[in-house]
Amino acid sequence: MEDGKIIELYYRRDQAAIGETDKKYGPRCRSLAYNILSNPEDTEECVSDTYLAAWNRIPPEYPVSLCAWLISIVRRISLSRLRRRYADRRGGGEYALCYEELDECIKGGGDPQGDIEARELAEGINRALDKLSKTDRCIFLSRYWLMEPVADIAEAMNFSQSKVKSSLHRSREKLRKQLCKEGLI
Amino acid sequence: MKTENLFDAMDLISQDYKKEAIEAMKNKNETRRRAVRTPIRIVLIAAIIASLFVGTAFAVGNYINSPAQAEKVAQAELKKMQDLGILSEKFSVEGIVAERVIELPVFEGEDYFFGRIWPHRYSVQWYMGSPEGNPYTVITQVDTAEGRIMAVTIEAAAGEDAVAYRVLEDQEVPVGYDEEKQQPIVEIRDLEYFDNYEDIIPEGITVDEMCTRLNEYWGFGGYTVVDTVDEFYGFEDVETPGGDSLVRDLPQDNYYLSVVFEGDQQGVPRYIQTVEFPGRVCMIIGTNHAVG
Repeated sequence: MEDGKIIELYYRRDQAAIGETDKKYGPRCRSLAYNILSNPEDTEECVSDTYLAAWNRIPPEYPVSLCAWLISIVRRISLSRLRRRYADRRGGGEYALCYEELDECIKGGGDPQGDIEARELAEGINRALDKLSKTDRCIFLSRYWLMEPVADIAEAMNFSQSKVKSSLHRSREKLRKQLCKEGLI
Repeated sequence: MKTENLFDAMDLISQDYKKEAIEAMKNKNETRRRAVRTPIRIVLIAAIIASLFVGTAFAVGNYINSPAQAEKVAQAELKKMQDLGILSEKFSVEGIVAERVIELPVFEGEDYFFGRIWPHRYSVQWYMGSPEGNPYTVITQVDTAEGRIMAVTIEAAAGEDAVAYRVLEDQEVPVGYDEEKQQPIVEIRDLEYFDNYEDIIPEGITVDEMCTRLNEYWGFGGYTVVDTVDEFYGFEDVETPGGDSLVRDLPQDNYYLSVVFEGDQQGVPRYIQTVEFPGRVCMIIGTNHAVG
């Protein structure tokens, strides 16, 4: 079913909206939540919470891209759950690995100006992404936005794992330089 | 800056880049994923939502066993409801192919769902409504065991020449969503409300008449109109309308009429609700409101 039709079901308060959302985007949401949480029960709860959030937010919201919108929600809920579960950063799963890898980007940066607005940071990341090739960008976001394991990214894009790892390494380095240059770290 | 900030900021990056990544990962072999247990909670959430519309306790077998059959039964049962004077005779779905026919599974409620049971059923839906064409939208829930409509939502758009009886001026209406700003896009519009109830229910039908006819349709032994107390969903506990009140005059804001039918094994009230949306009116007759 097309996204527009699914959103129409939400607007009509039709329970089928949940089923259709799950049919179309359930596997992706579950995969992302599992990659972060490494726990089937928590994964299901996060995905369920995501659907409930969707039910409560549409209407009035009207996602332009339902898939990206759902992924953002499930990602936020999963990260939040993980942070609650572990006050330290040892969450396990792909999040812990991604965390270690991205940590390089800001190591030594300190926090001289206090918390940086997320939007400002996102704009900096966007500018860094602009400078990457499309392939490197896809690999980077598959890893750090979708939290996919390196092996899965390699398989999906038909690359070797070492190629994916080296692409990620290069991209992280470029991101670090860009953020430094803009004074964001 | 903390590494968490980076992760959080990722959600605000360009939509185009997000779509690229989603597209790139489409080829991932999902079958290789670790097994994730059956999404029971999803079913539960769907059932909570379903509880707003449906439910009865009689499911013992599947006498309707295909979507096509469900559609035909829904058409016939809607006609029966019209003949009994429950629904207006102004509309017809005969010969109109349903836009959606969805099979809904049996669900045995736990205390979380107020102990209710939802039988195997089909949701047969016609979305036709527009002032220019066929103004109706009809959504039914057909019990596959009884072959009867358990719940019906009927909605009619007011005609192009209809005169609004109430206008809310300069209202903020969401027309989209700005992903970058993470907020709805709104336009300022006047919202017009109409009272074209005669398009969906027989003219002059009272609460008593409606309940009597539903009692006959469902085959129960009588009915009692009861107070609606629904603190959970914020519905108001207002004075129960008298039996000679008009259905079209049921209170609008946060209200539904609760009716207990004798012999209804569900043991909780069914409900009748009228809702006015800008440009259209709607009536919902259902079993097992969320709280009842």
